[in-house]
Amino acid sequence: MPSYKDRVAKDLDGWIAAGLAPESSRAPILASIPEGGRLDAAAAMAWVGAVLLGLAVMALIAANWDLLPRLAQFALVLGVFGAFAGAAAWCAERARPNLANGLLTVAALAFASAVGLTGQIFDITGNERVALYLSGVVAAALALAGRSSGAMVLALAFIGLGDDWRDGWNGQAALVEVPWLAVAAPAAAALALRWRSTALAHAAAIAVVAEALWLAAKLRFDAAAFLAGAVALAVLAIGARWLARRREDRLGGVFYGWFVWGAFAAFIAAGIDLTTHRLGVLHRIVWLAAAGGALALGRNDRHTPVTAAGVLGLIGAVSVLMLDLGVNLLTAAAVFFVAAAVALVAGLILRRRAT
Amino acid sequence: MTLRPALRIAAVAALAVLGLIGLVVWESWQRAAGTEVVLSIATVDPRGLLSGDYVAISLQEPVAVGRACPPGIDTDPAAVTGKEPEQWIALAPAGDHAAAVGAAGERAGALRFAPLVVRGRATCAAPTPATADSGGAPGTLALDLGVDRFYADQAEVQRINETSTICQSGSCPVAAIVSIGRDGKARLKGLRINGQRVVLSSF
Repeated sequence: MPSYKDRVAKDLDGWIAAGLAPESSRAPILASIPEGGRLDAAAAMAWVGAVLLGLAVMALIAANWDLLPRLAQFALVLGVFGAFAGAAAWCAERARPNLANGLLTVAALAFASAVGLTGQIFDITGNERVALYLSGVVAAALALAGRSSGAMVLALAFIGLGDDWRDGWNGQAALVEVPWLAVAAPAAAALALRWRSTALAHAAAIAVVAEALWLAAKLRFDAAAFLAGAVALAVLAIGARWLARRREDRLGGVFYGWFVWGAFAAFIAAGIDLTTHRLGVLHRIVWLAAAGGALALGRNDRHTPVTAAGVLGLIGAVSVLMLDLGVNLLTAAAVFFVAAAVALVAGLILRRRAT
Repeated sequence: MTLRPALRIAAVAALAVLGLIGLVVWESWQRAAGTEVVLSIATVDPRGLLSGDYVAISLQEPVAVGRACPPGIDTDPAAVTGKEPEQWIALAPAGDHAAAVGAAGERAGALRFAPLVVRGRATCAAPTPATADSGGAPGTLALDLGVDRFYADQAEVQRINETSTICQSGSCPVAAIVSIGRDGKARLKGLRINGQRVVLSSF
């Protein structure tokens, strides 16, 4: 597979042949593009071997687990965690950030396993939520200590699980005292911007969307709560779009896409017949308009996820509207005619403003 | 002063390990120092495949025909969702084991029933009264003290499993040995199987 640098070199040759760029610029331009990190075959085989060796050791320990005294089991569990954390510290010291990130992620997983296994080894029964929060706090601490986006993603996952997702989405379930993901998700978003981590930006954005939906479901589980969630996510999407466009921040684009999808999800949920109060055809018309707006915005911003949200939103809105109106095709035709007219007028206005 | 990343990672890892060791020491001390009681078990279900070898236990006491459910204990098991607030449950000797004799929202309220109290939830299905056609049916008093599984090795779990079939027929030869700490928390010490103690050892 040709790398980015290979593709630029090929394009440069074409531009030089066409007289668009001087021959003398070829070498400096190519020199400014760093070589992408590639895993050669020998290194790949070494990784495969290491993974298989790890699996073999795990299987050997699992086969003899019952024979080990409890203290030995405990020492082994702590030792595995300590080994991964120690290896991560060693890599961090030798300026190998990617390896340190991966090892800290595994260390965070190993600690979560250690919490569960310690309870099993010593028959300690306790609150599962506390165990998940503890795992999340340690994962976050490891992430902050070693600047590990992977460990922070795990921290979000553990804290989100700790907020008791098993209670279901019905508002009758008791809300936890403090939904800690509501604190952790914005903090993770800020860290993603500070660390310039795309992976963490995706995880933080998903966590913010999930938290907004979860709070709406837990607090009220009615149309008003989901509408409030949709508005909040739409406001966040506007902020993220500003970040992406005005400050040309690629991470702003990540948040922008997820928040638009989240706003649509919350808005669509508000239109489901949750209570005796129905939003009715007005909801479908706003849905149609919002989907059209997202489609136009996505095309204007060259943002594929937002465009996709608009396209799917349109398909969904049309389908649901048809379902709502039943076989009354005349009414359906009138609604679609008005919607088409609005879209055409809006398009014309945008074209005139652009010219 | 900023610490180097390696030192920061080592410090977090050391704190996490010390925290887990501290938890084990604290729980073991609380278990050893608590008041030991034996509680009846109604059902014994062996092992969860993904959670290691364990015995799932259900603390239940039959309520004889003609007896009433203890005061303060919810008498509608069908309405139980598992999310009710915890109560203080009073335990008193009943033959060779202990049984719940009352419950209250406050510790002081539960102490009026018996001097030994534990935090948890209790529900009671009242016995069916005897009629001219039948002798009635006993009710059940179920306790949820957070003690619901006993981890053991595979051979031990299989041995306990053999006795579980007897539990289904009525009288269960397995009972839970529980330590009630000063904090009111129940901690499982082991099982009593056919009169023989199988106690968790730390080594």
